[in-house]
Amino acid sequence: MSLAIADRISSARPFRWPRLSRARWLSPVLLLALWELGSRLGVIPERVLAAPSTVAETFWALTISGELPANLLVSLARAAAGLSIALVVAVTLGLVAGLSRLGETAIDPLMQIKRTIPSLALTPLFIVWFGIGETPKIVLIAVATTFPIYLNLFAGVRGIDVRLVEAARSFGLSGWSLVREVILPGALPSFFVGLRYALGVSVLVLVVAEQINAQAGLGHLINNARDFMRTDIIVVCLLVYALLGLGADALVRTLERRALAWRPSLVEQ
Amino acid sequence: MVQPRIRRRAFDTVSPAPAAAPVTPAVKLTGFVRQFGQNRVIDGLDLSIAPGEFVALLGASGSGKTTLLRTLAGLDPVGDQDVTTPSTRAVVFQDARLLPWKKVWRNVALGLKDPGFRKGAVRARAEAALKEVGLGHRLDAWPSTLSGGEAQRTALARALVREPGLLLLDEPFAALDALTRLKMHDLVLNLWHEHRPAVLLVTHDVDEAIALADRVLVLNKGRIAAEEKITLERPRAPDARFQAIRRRLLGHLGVEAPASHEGALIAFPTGEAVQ
Repeated sequence: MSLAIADRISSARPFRWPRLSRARWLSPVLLLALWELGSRLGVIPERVLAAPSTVAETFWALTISGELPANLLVSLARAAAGLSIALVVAVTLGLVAGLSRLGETAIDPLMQIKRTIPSLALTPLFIVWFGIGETPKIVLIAVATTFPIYLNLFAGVRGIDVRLVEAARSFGLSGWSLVREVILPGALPSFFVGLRYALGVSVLVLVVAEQINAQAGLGHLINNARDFMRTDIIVVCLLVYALLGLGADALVRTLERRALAWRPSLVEQ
Repeated sequence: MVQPRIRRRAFDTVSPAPAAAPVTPAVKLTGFVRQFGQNRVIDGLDLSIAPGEFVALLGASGSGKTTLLRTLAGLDPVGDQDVTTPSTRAVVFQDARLLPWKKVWRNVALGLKDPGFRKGAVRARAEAALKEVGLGHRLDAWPSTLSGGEAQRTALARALVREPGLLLLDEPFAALDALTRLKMHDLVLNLWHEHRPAVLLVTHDVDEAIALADRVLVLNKGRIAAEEKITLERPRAPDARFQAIRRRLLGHLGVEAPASHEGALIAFPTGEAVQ
């Protein structure tokens, strides 16, 4: 089907190759078409990889039956819970370390040590500590996403223009009002870099965490599909993971556009 | 560009605070010392500014101008030294130092929290101050969209909205083009007449100091090296008397040899008090 479209375009406009040369959608569509063709001809067996059309049908069926939305919600809730904990912990630690020399001395070495341990390597320990329920999954996401938020907020606080802080102090701001009016807004661009990174990490950790005896969620869906060799469901879940990543990015972009509207590059849009 | 909508007054009708009556000075420093390590930036400085007086402070780089201004602004600790300043002070810096994430009116309203006022009242005060500097149309603009002159006028509005007893101007016009600078001079004089704060203007520009101030001080090695009272009527044209003052001040800055010791110039040898 897709091949036919490509053919029709090139034959109807034989001298429009330059336009076609910029068609970035063409190679993915060609790949899909080859994949579909391979499946139809039996070159790619169903149990190795389901055909795109089958994947699309399965996607639709899982959505209609409510199975996919329900499991997706479970996964999103886990990611949200882990990220919320990480936000509270990382913002607190980042502010304390960023605003005082003593705080930096106390907190930063611990965070740097934590950074050198791959978060996923903590999985066995967390299973021993927290069992195989929801807790280790959420804790794993929280632990993995704390560092990027902490590090960027810390750098953002330290990178504040001291002349602005001085001006604000000369107008009587101090303590919490100085943090709220000057330091936090000034660190916000860096914070968003950390948040974007943390959202990406949360999806990654979600995939691994949900392999731990999940009774629901995208990981559960994938594990079940593996047991029944349902490659179509596995591909659907992979697609959903990809969409989650894109969605997370779009979310942060929207937040940035609202919160950082003062930045010249965004004002001019 | 919209011109500042200021009610103009004849400058020559206003005189500085009455010299005869003993007035409690707005600013008083006696034997003030500020030291960084072995380096004495301010070395036994005596300074007195009357309420409503416009004082300009001239000095080469490293003469201690900025340190003195920071001290008066309350940005540096003074220890147990004898420093008297009004409780309300406001600074206009050379770079406007507006918070880029706050709209213009919120920058002006920064730190204003009158418990009796509701939020709308604070905005009204900021709006009035911005109208006074001719920026009534830029209330909701982001600071990054302002021109240099507009940013500096916003900084002036931010300083004056809190009705300071002492207005500190730290080379506020140095980064502006010549035409904008002249307009800003008029604006500052008008605002000064309207609000009557004591003003300390730190500047490199001798002409600017003479054009604006009641009294010009020359700071050298952390002490007041010379003082010039300027009694010329405002607005001040660069006539012969202006030029004479200019020559004397430049002499004290070490740019030219002083022409003569005439007029109100009082040169001080080391460390004598300026009255």
